[in-house]
Amino acid sequence: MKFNRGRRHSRDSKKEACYGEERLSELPSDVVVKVLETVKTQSKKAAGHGEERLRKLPNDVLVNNILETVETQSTKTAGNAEDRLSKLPNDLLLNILERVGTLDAVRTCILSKKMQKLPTMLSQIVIDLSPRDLVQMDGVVADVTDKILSTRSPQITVRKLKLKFFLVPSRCLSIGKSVGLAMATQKLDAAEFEIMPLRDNGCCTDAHRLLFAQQFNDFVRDCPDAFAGLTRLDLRFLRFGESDIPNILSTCKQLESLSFFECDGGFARCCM
Amino acid sequence: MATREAGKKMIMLKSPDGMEFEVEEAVAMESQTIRKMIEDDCADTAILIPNINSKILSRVIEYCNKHVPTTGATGAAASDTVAPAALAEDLKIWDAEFIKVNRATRFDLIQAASYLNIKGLLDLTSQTTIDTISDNSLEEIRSFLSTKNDYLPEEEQTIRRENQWAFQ
Repeated sequence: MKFNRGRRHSRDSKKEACYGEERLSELPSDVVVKVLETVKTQSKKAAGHGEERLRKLPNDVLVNNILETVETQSTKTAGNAEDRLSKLPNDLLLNILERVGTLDAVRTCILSKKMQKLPTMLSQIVIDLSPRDLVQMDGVVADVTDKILSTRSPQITVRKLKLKFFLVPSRCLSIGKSVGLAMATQKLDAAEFEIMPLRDNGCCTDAHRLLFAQQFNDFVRDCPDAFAGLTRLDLRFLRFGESDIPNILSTCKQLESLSFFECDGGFARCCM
Repeated sequence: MATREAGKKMIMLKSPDGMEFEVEEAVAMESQTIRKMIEDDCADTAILIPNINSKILSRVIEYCNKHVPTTGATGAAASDTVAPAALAEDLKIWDAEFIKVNRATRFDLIQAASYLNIKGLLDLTSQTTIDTISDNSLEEIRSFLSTKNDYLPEEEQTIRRENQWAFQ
């Protein structure tokens, strides 16, 4: 901050020098030179004061703030020559990228050509957005899932695939097909679906629950490959018919965890 | 530099720029790479650490010194009286201060932590790097991570068209 103030001083005095120049132009040139010299010295002094103040700052402030600024500036002037992140080896980059959700990882990898192929090497694919973000990005979940799963190299095991999405038939179908194909052609250790209805608790009537359950049953019927490999399934706001749950259990052969929230069988509600 | 105490084996670590660091064996063994060298009896009195300059190596040793478990015969009295949760909290605060370095140093530390196989340090440096990502625009992330835009203008247009969501 103080560093800047020092600079601003010098800029101001330059401005003064400019205004002065206009009025001074009629004076003999040797006088003008003298006047301008004084101005120059003053601005130098102002900058000097700035330096004085700099020296009084604690060392860590100096190092962290000012050197960082200097670094940024010098990188800028060097045309971003020092591209440190993408120079890291792939395994280190993947280690860094797997610490955030897959969408953030994909977004980061768009930054440079070298990093663009990294998402296909991720061993964890987690798209778990908040319901609010999901409303805006629902189509993106299906698109990115398809892109990532269809382009990845089959040698790299997916340790964990976790997807959260809305029960919208067309999107579900797209996700189900991508995941089903991946399960047939690649190695997946764990696959989790969390499927949300488009309505929240407040406006979810019995008719909605029946419709959602119908849509979910269709989803299971259309994408048996995906469900056959699921290890965890999270369902909400569904009203099942008598044979629905046995049907789900027989399709999802790998299932280790099944959880219902506000689901029922038409007579008694079960919340688990 | 730690003073040599009776019963504590010291190891000499050498950086390629010729600096030597004498550290307790227990501290050096925070690095799984060095631990393996010592256990396999590949380590003489001095171990040359390639690719890690003295500036970075000294920071790494500083980290290991802080993180070495203090359950040994000496120095145990102090840590016994402190609750483990408080100790962990103290370490967290220390880590947060430790990682306040410029980006170039952080990237060097990432590579050093990876080569020396120090999981805690790799986690700390990698997590700090990725923490800058959420909630920031692509251009902001680009400048945080000092990543060079190496696309041709037409390539960038295609990328933007295909990944519109990422630029919102």
